[in-house]
Amino acid sequence: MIEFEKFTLDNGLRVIVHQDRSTPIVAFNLLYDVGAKDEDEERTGFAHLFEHLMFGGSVNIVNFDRPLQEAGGLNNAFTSNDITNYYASLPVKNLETAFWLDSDRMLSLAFSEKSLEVQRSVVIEEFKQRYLNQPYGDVWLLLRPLAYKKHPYKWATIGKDVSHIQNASMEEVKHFFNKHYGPQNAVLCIAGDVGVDQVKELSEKYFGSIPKRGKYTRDLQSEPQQSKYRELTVEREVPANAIYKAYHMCDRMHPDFYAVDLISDLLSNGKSSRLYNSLVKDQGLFAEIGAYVLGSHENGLFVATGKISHGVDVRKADAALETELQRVVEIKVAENELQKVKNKLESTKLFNEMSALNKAMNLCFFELLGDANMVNEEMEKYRNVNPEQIRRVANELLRKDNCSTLFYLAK
Amino acid sequence: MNIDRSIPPVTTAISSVRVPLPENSFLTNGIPVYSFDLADQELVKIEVVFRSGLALQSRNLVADFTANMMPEGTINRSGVEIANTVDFYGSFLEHSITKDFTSFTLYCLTKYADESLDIFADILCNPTFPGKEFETHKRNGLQRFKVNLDKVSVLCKREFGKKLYMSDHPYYSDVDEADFKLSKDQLLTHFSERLNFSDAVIFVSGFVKKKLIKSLDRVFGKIELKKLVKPEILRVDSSLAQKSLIRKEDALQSGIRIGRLIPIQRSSVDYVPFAVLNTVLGGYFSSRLMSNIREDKGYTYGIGSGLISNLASTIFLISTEVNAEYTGDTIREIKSEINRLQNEKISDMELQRVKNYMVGAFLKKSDGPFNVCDQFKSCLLHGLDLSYNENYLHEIQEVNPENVRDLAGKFLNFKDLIQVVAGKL
Repeated sequence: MIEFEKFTLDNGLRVIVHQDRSTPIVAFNLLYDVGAKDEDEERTGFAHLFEHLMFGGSVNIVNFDRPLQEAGGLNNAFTSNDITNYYASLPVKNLETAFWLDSDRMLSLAFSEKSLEVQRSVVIEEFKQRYLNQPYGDVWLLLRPLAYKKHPYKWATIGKDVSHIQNASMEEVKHFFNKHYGPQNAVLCIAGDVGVDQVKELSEKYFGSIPKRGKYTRDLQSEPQQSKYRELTVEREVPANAIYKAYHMCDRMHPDFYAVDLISDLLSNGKSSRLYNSLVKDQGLFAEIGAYVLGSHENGLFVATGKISHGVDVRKADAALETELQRVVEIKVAENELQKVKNKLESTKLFNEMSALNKAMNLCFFELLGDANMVNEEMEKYRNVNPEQIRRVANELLRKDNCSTLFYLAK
Repeated sequence: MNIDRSIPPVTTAISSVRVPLPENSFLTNGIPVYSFDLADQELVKIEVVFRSGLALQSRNLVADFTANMMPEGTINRSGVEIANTVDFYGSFLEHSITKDFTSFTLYCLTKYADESLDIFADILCNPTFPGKEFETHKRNGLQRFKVNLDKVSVLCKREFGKKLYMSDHPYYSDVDEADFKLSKDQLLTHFSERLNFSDAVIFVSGFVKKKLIKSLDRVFGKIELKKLVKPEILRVDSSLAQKSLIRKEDALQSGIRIGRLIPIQRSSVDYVPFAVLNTVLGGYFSSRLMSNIREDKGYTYGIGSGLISNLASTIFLISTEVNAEYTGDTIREIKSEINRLQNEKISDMELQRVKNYMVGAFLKKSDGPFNVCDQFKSCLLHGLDLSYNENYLHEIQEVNPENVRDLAGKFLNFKDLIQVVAGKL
C-alpha cells in the first residue's frame, strides 16, 4: 500500500504527498499532461524538443542545473506519446530548491534564441544516435505509421523527420508552452521524509501565484478499426532479419488491459516464458524474441518481435511466431502458469516500491489517468484475471485482420 | 504571496552520511557472510562473489558462457524446471562479470527464500552445461555480437580496450567471431577452477533475519572448500599513447574514446582529488565537456568522462558519440578543455558546486539496503579500509583548486592519451 495525501491549488495544480521516512533523499516529480500525440502533424518532435528547452533557463533563473547541483541534487526528464515527466531527487533538507526551480520554469521559460538553436542540434544528434545510427534504430519510425493511419500515435516522440525539428521557430515554441504548460495541466508528487503541511506551504509559496493558462481540450483523431492485415518490408544494413508484429489493443484504463498485459507476460516475461522456450530454445528459429504492450493512455499496441536466426527463412519464422501466439487463443492457459506470471508481476511491484522516485512517478501517472489510488488497486485487477478472460481477450487481440507486420531485412 | 524568485532558497550542505556497517558471520565451512538488515519490505538480495573474473579465463568468452550456461541445467533440475520455479516464486537471478570478479545475485521475497536458495545453490554448485542449450547460446551470442559490431560506440570501446593493455596482460581483451567456437570442457574447467567457494564472499541485504542466515548455511555451509592456486595479476600503471581510426563511411555519428591508465589506486591519497578532477571535466551534466560540446556547440547528445577501478589498473576515459561532421572539432574542444584545467585554477565557486554535487550523488548511491551493501562490497573487495566510505565526504571537501590543476597537468596531457575514433574523421 502506498499511502498518500492529495490537494489541489486554486490554479488547478494537483499535488500529492507520500511520506517515506526510510530515506534521506526526497523525490520531486512533476508530470505535464502533454505528449507527442498533442503535436501538429507538420511539427512533430515538438513535445520532446520542448522538454530539452525546459532546461535552458527560465524567467528568473539563468541556469536550471547548477542550483540543483549546488543543493546536491540529480534530475532528468522524459517524453512519451502521452506525457512529459520531469523529476529530481535531492537531500530532503534542500527540497525548497526543487520547488523554486520547477515553479519558475512553469511560470515562464527564458525563451532564448541560443538555447533553441543549441537544443535543436542536440535533439537532432539524439535522433541520429538512437534512431538513425543504430542497427534497427528506425523500426518505430516505420511501425507506427503502419499501424496507425489517423491517430497521432502514428508518429514517434522523436518526430517524423529531422526537418520538423530543424524548422521549429521561437513563435511556435512560445505557443506550445502557453497551450500545454499550465498548472491545471500538471501533477506534482513529493515522496520522502516530508509532512503534508510542509509540502502545502511550499506549494502555495512557489506555485500558488502561477496563473491558469487557457484550457486545452484534447481532441484527437480517432483511429478507425483496422479491417485488413497490413505488411511492410524494408531492407537495411543490419546483420540479421527481424520481424515486428503490432496488434491494436485497448486503452490503459480499459478493464481488459490487465489481461493483455498478462498475455504479453505469459509469452515473454522471464526465462520460463513461452516464446523464448519454443522459438529460441526448442526450435532455434529466433536468436531473440519478445512481446510487450506499449501501455499507451489511448488505444495502444501489443507487439511481438524477434531477430531471426541466421539461415532461417523469414516466412517460416513468422509462421512459427503466429502459431505460438495462436496457442494462447486456442488452449486455455493453465491456472499455475497464470499464477506464475501474476507472482512475478507482484514481486516486481514490491521491488519497485523500494524507490521513492518510482513511487512518486507512479502516483503522478495514475492521477493523470483519473485517480492516484489506482496504484494500490492494480494488483487486485491483475489477480482477478482468469483463464477464460485470457482466452477471450487473446481471441479479440491476436486476429490477423488486427495485425501489422514489419519485415526488417538485412540487405 | 509575493516572493522574489530571483533569490535562490538557502541550501544546507551535507556534512556527513550515516554509513551502516554489516554484521559479519561465517558459514560452517568458513565462507564469510556480510549482512545488512535494513529493509521494512520483506525482500532480500543475496550475492555470491567469486574473486575471479575475465582476467583469469583461459581464453575469450569462457567466463561469460560459463556464467550464462549455469542456470541451463544442473544434476538435479533441467533448465526449464529452474526457469519455471524461479519465475513462479517471483525471484530474479542475475550475474555480472568484471575483470576481477564474478558475482551471482538472487533477489527474492523472504517468504520464498528457502525455495529460491535451494535452486540458487544448485545452479552455483551442480551445473551440467547441457549441449543443446550451449549450441543455442553460442549461435545467438554470435548473432548479437555481429549486430553490436555495427554500432560505432561498440567498435570504439573494443578498439580502446585493445590499446589500453599489452596483449600479454590478463586484462587485455580482443574478442572476434572465432572465439565463439567454445567447448564444454572449457566451461567445466573454468567452473571448477575459477568459481571456487574457497575464494568466495556472500553479501546479503534487505529484510535479513537469523532464519535467512541459517538457510544460507544449509545450502552453502557444507561445501568442501579446496584451495586452488590463482595466478597473480600484475598491476599496470600506464598505457602507451596511440591513435586509431576505424572507418565507417556511412556513419552519421562518430564514436570517440580518449583516455589512459593512471597510476592512482583507490587507496591512494590522490584518488579522491582525481575523482573531483574527473567530475569537473566530464562527470556530471554541467561539466566542462558537457557545457562546451553539448550545451554550447550542440555536437552531441552526451559526452562524459569516468574512472574505472580494477584491482590491477585504473582507467580514465572520455567517451562520446558526436555528429560525424564535427569529429575533428570535438577532439580539438576536448583538448582545449583539458588545457584550461591545466593552466587556469578552477574557481572556488565552481569547485564547491562540484563537491556539493558529488556529495549528493554519494548520498543517492548510499540510499536503501541494496545500495548500502554495494558500497560496502566495493570497499571490501578492493581491500580498502572500512572507514573509506565515512572518510570519502571529508576527503572531497579537502580538495583545493591547486590539486585539480596539478593532477590535470600531471596525467591529462594529450600526448599521453590513447585516442580512438570509429566513424569519420
